[in-house]
Formats: sequence, structure tokens, C-alpha cells
Amino acid sequence: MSVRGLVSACVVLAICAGCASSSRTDDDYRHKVANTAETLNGVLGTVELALKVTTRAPAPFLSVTFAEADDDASATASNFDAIQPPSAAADRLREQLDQVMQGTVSMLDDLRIAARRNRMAELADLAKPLRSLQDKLDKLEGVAG
Amino acid sequence: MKKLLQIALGVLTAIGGFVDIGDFVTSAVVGARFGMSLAWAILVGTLGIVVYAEMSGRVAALTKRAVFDVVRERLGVRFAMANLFSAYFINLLTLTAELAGVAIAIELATSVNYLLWVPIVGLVVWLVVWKLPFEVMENAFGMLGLCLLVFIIALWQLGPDWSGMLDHASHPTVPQGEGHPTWWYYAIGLFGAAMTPYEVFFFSSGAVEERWGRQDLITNRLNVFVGFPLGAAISLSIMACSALVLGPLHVEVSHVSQVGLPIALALGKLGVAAMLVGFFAATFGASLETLLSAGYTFAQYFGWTWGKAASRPREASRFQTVLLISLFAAMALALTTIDPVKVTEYSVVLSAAALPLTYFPILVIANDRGYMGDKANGWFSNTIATGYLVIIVAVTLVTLPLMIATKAGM
Amino acid sequence: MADQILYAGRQLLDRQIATSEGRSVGKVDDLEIDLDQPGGPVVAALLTGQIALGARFRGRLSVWVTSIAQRLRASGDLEPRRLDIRLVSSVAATVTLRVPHGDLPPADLEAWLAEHFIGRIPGA
Repeated sequence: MSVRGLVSACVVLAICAGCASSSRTDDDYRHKVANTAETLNGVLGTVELALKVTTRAPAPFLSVTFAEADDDASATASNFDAIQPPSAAADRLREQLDQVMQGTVSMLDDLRIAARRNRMAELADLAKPLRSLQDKLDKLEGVAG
Repeated sequence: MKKLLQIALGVLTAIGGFVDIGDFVTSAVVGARFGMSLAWAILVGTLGIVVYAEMSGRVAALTKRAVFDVVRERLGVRFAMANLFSAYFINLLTLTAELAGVAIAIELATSVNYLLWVPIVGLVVWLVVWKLPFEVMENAFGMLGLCLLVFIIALWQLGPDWSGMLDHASHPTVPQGEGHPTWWYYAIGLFGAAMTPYEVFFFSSGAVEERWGRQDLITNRLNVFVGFPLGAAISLSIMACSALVLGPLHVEVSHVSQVGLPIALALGKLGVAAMLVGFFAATFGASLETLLSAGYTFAQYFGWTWGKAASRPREASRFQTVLLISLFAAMALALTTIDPVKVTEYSVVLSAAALPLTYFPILVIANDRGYMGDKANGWFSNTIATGYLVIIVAVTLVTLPLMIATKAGM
Repeated sequence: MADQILYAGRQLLDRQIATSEGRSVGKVDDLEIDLDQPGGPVVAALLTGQIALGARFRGRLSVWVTSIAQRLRASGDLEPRRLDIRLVSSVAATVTLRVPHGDLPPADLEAWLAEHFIGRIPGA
């Protein structure tokens, strides 16, 4: 096998290794919930920062930042929704996280639209749920124990 | 006086040209996730590129031969062919990332999606290598790349606890919640970003093009010994800004825009504008360099005419064909909407894995007194260079297993 | 040059060949050895180009490299490009020829691409 062949094979392997998979145990599922919450929390961290600099960054830059955060959150949510919960306990956990995810995505949708329209003054108002979403995600990050 | 100006220009270009999308993204990703605990990897990588770039420049000045030319002679025709394909493939990934980087810089300034800019950026890059006076462009982009110094100003403005940061960087520990394999995986990424082989392909080919001789050895040393470390200071400050601002909020850096947030916080709109100009120039310059390197590797392996030896493009038609095919391939890859940040991460890690095939022949030929005469390596450079060769080989052996074990750093 | 002693494998093979004015010709991809000389074998010619190179690989790679090169040949002759050793003026890091670029026939692929592809782009 040539070096190139080896390298491309490894790239394919590494990319496949990154895909989401199904969960077989409650424990595994809890880990996935925690990881998803952590990722979403990171996205909200970006948003929190972007909100701090609404008057200190160029409008196109902010607009792109909010749009990317929205895309990231939606992608994380749809990845999570594709995981099969293994039990009734997992179902309850899923419902909790689902609610927070929906809240996050809808807030980010609003922020994205307002930023795109260059209504930077409205952003702080639209971001009111931010703090409580972050608190809920913090709790969900802890479920893996 | 004119000579002095030229040297100063060379050094400034080296600073601006040191940072490309690989250094930029990897430093920011690592800073946000691991704080300053991997700052040492940038230093180790920078000393490595300094040692080997100086050697490749010296070899080029004395033998008039660029790196890939030497690679084939010393590795033999088959090993060099394997190196050609792996170097070319990694180069193509890097080119893809750089082109996307230019497009992203424009997106952040206009809010028009970067995918729409990719074909335009590709066209402009091609026009530059096809007809425009290349040195002028290289110097211009190197200078504009200096705008990235804004990260150093921002860091200073953010007013970190300097001694705490230094302590953290000099006593590296794996942060809580992160595994050792992941930490090492990103150390390799930083190392690979600093030592990317295209830098020596390009650097040595440029030296041959500019007909460097013995009298240029000083210029060579100054460019490398002063320019590269100052470039690395930019990488370190990107890492520190991320660590200070993005780290506490657990931001996972996956977009260039996130790297700009600390700048906005510290310096406001003007700072962000400077960062965008710097990032644009750095990625555009690196697009030119990686594209030309793709052509250089092929031309120097097969002995084709390349670069200025041809007064018109048709006289180097094979070289120009490789450039066109590579550019189209990279643009096509970028347009698949593949994540540019992920492409960058893969390209720096794979660069690290492919290092020995490029760096070993340089070391061998820099020791050949038949070629180098009194300018062959002394014991000091040989000790450091051999030490690095050991590191490089070790890195090659562990990279792919680590990549699989950590699911590419997840 | 004619009677210089070299380690052909180490000092000649895989070196860059350049014309008298410094233009690249190709690599020393293979050597033609004359075994019938009284003083022992001598190098009769440098062979360059993909046809010569392909012969140094094994298996499919060899077939691939050679057949591409042969397909580009306008004439029916499928021998590698040959540079007589008398054309060589010096052997150092580069093998330098006595003749300028214009005196040598162009490489097949270079000529083909110049005519059919690169040459057709404005400004070429």
C-alpha cells in the first residue's frame, strides 16, 4: 500500500470514527446527553461573548457569528435526536434535553434574524433566556456523574 | 542601505508569512480547550522549523537546488515517489483550507457566504501565479500579514495575570476532564502546523529562484532566526487570547469568527478589521505558497522546468498544468462544503506524520562536504537537527494511532 | 568529462540535468552503459524522461508511468530520451550540458501540453 493510500484510509477511518452511533446502555446514553449539553453550552458561550461586543464588532462579523452559532446548535440538536434512547429513564432525560435544545435553537434563530437585519439594539432583549438555558445545560452536563 | 532595506523586508515578510490558517486555527482551538498547557508545542515546532528551514536555505544557496530536488537524489526514486504523493496530498488539503480561509475572511467582512467567494478567490490566486510579479505580491501579503500582530496588542489590552500564565505554560498539566491522548494529539497538531513541509519547499525554491549564493547566507539566517520566532509569537498570542476569553466560557472553537471575539472585546471594531486584513493576507499568501509548492514538488521530482527559468508560462507547461489541476481540485474540495476548520486540523496533523521523508534528506545533504564545503553543518546544528529527527520519527509513529484512539481529538 | 571516474549510481543517477544556460532538461532517470570498451564498462548516454523512469519502478506503477509517456510520443519510436555523454560538460550537484536549450528536442509531455492546453490560455 502506498503512503497516500494509507493516509487516505486513515482519514476515512478517523472521519467515520467521529459519527454518532446508537446507545446500548443507560450509562452510555447519559454520557451522550452530557456531551451534547456541553457542546451546546460552548455555543451559548460564544453567543454570550458576541452579545458583549455588539457595539464593538462590525455588523457583518456579528451577523456571521450568530448565524454560525445557530447552525452549530441546530446540528448538535439533530445529531442528538438521531440517538435511540435505550429505556424509559433515558426517554425522560431526552425530553429534558430536548426542551432546552428547542429553547436554545429558537433563541438563536431570533438572534440570527435580528443581527442579519442589523437591529443590534434588540439583541439583548432577545437573549433574555440565555442565562436560564445555560443553568439547565450545566445541570444536564452533570448527569453522567 | 538598499541591502539593509531588503533584509528588513525579508524579515518582515517572514513574520507575516509564518502564520497561516494551520497555526491560526490550531492555536485558537488549543488555547480555548487546553489553556496555555500546550504552548511548549509551538516553541518546539518553531525551533524545529528554524533549524530545518535554515538548512534548506543554506543548501539552496550553495548547491542551487531546492528541497524536493535533493529528496529524490538522497531517498532514491521509489521512496521519493511515495514522499511526492504524500506531500502533494497534504499540500492539497492545506491549499483547500487556505483558499477557504481567504473566502471566510471576506465572508466576515461582507456577511456573504464564503462558498460564493471560493471560485473568485481561486481565480485571483491563479492570475497571480500565472502572470503577476510574484515577489511583489509575496512581499505585499507578508506585510499585510503583520496586521495579525493585533493579537499581541489585544493580549496586552486584556491584561492577563502574566506570571500565572507563564507558570501555567512552563508547568504543563493536562486540564481536568481531558484525556492524555487528546492532549498529545493536539500537541502534534501544533507541532505539525509549525513544521509544515510546504514551508521548506517554498522557502528553498524561492532561494533558488532568487539565485541566492554565499553572500545571502546572512539574509537566510536573519529571515529564519528573527522572522520565524516573531511569527511564532503571534501564534502564542492567539492561543493566549483564546485561553483568556474563550476558555472560561467553554467555547469549542470551530469557526474563524470565534477567534475574533477576544479581539472585539479588547480592541473594538478597528481591531477586528485589522485581524480580518491580517487573516486575509496570511491565508492568501499561504494559498500562493501551497499552490506553488504543489507544482514545485512535481517539477523537482521529475526535473521539469519550473518558476522563473521559464520566461513564459508555456515554456513550463507541465508545471503550469499541475498548478491548474491542483487549484481546481482544492476549489472543488472546498466547495463540497467540507468544514474548513476540520480540513485544517487534519492537514496539520497529517503534515506532522509525513515529516521524516522531507526532513531527513535535508539533514543528510547539509552534512555533505562535497556539496557544502566549509558551510556544511557544524556539531551544534547537527545535534539539534538529529534530536529533531528523532522527535519527528516518534511523532510519525504515534500520529495515526492517536488519531484513531482520540477520534481525531474529539 | 569523457574519462572521469564517477560512482554512477550515487553521483550521476537522479541528478538534475541543465542546459548550458541553466534551463532544466530533466533528471538522469537511467544510464546507458557501453560494456564493450577495453577499459571496462563506460557510461555512453544519459536517459531521461518518464519512459526511462518507468523502467525503474516495479509492477503497475512502472506500466503506468511508462505507458502514459509512450502514448504521448508522436513518432512510433518508444525508446527513452537519450543524451549522449559527449554532450555533458560537467557533473556536480547538477549535470550541465554543453548545448543550449534550443539545440535539444523538447520533452514530449511539455510539448504536448504547450500545444494543446497551456499554450491556448491567453497570455501563455
